[in-house]
Amino acid sequence: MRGGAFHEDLYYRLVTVTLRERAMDIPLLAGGLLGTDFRSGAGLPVINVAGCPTHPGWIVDTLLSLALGALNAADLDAWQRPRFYTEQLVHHGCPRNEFYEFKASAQKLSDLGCLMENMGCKGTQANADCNLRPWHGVGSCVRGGFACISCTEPGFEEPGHPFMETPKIAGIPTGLPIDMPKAWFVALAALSKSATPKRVRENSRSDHPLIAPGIRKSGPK
Amino acid sequence: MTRRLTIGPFNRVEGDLEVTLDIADGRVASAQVSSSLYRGFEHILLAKHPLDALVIVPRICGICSVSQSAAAATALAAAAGVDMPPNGRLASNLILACENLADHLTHFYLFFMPDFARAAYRGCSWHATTERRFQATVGEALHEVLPARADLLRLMGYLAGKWPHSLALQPGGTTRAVTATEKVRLLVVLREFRAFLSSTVFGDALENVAAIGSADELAAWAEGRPGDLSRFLEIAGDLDLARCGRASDTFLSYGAYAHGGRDGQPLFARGVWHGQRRPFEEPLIREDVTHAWLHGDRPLHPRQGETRPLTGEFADKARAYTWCKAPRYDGGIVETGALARQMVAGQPLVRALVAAEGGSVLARVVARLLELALVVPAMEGWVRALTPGEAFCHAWQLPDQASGVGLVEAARGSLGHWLRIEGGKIAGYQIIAPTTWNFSPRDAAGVPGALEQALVGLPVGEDERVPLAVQHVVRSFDPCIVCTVH
Repeated sequence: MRGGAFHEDLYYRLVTVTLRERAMDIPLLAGGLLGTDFRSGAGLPVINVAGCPTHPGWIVDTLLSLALGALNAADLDAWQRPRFYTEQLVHHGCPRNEFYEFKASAQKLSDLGCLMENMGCKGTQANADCNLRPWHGVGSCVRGGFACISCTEPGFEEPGHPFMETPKIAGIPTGLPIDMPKAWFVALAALSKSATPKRVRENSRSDHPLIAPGIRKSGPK
Repeated sequence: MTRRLTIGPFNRVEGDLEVTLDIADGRVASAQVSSSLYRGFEHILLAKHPLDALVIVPRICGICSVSQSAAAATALAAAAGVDMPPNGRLASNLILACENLADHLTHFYLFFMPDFARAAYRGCSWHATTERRFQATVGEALHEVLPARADLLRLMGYLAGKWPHSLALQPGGTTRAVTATEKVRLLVVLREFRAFLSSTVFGDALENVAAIGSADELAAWAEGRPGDLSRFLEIAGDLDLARCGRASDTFLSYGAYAHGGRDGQPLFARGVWHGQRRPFEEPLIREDVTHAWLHGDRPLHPRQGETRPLTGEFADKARAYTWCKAPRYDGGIVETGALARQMVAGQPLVRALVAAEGGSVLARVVARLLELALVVPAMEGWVRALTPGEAFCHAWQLPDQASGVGLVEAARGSLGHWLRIEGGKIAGYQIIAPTTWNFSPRDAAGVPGALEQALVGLPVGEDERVPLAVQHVVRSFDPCIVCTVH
């Protein structure tokens, strides 16, 4: 480099490390600048209110819980995130759940169908309560018509695939719903796709409902 | 007697900012503006899937998030040759306007006005009221403004899922089709915000505010009127803020809210103003890095531009003092922001204020508040024009080789993204943010940037460590340094 044989910022161009390649280092980062061994006056480690962005409610609940002395080390998960919001899945309360049940998937942007199969949605794997506690009282990523990118998860910024495409092997998404064995998912998907009502299938490929749910004529049962 | 004063980090601006002043005979003789943090988003984007830009660029900034999305979506749309359906345009404009107005409100109440509540102004007739109403973190106005802002952001919940960092803005339109009942709710959100502006900010109907055509009319209108604009005007008159903080009076606007005005024109026109309006010509932009901690030996158009930070042993560049490049239009400096936007658009009051005293702290703040009065009625019109049941987003194909430019108006002014796609990946991505224009360092010819010029001549008291006039001028630009250094 000194001899002028290489571009003078060669080193800078070569050195890039992504968190995804260094998963073993993530626990070392859990305390951030303060380190893993940090303990506050109240004996608490660093609290990671993870999310990009963080939901205002996660911040406020955390601060108010601390002020009330109601947040203990046991209330934090393995990434030191407050469990009150990470022991939910973005999937919980997702308004697209009927489409998910029948694997009636969105084919393109602005479709109403489930975003998991094609559009890159990780809501079934992401630890957050975005659909139980909507943003601005009314919204969330999936309510806005686009994928959950699991932004509360360490390393989410380098997923190893385009954010808005679901990575698949032999047509099966590589990221399966959390806690679900692959064989079960494949069996369930095949069964539910074969049983999809017309209303659900048609509506999943449109940006507004084409067929309304029927009205029961036989009276309450 | 000459002395050097370094101020920083500046509070109540977004990001890291340091200002160095040479002071002679009680006035600023020369200023250097330094953006002291490097971030590297243009590098992060390289070799990524082009659509990943929509995920990454909003994260440049938590307050200009949607503006960055809009610029990226526009650049991608240009690269793909796709156009939006009318609903998509309307929804995109609503989303961008919502962010811009929320930012204007935040700037006035949270960043700018608290300076007048400082103890140094205790002798002034307006100080007691100002302190009660605007003091940082405790002023009574915050109890009115923050809920109003949060209510306005419900519009983002409906149209963009969330704010910041939405993926709703796409090259072919928006991802969220609005239903008929949601259209009604959007109008409710805007009506509530309109009521807040009328009662708290202006003390008058928005249409009456928009009709004020001259400095004299403004003074007569403000006389005895309850409302925070009038409170500011009283202070501005007393401190002569109309003759404070003038830059070069060359103004740039890329044009705001595409197709959002009459006959398919943008709501606010595109152009450059210097004594008169001229058409904007994109090829005339260059970025110079003579005084930045960046590699490069000549000014480049952003299409060919590069961002290569000096590191380690190469960091020793005697003339460099900032991470901000020096963008130039036709070789000269420009100012951008609400004032520039309204100058180019021909707003009568703003044109009159600048004709009288030039660009100033007063003109910048008035232009920003005026936009609240001008844009909310336009937004109401856009909501009414939404047609539920019709498309919000066109399908499109991503090309393997292409380039595109996205020029939009953020709250703080002209924001441009220059994108190049090769082999289906991002091969080049250059961003010029509004504050990059305004807080530009000197160029190769030694010509200072807009803020650097605006600070010259300001009074600095013997004992002042953070001169008040300097703070008013710096904040009058509503800088966003995190966007500047992206």
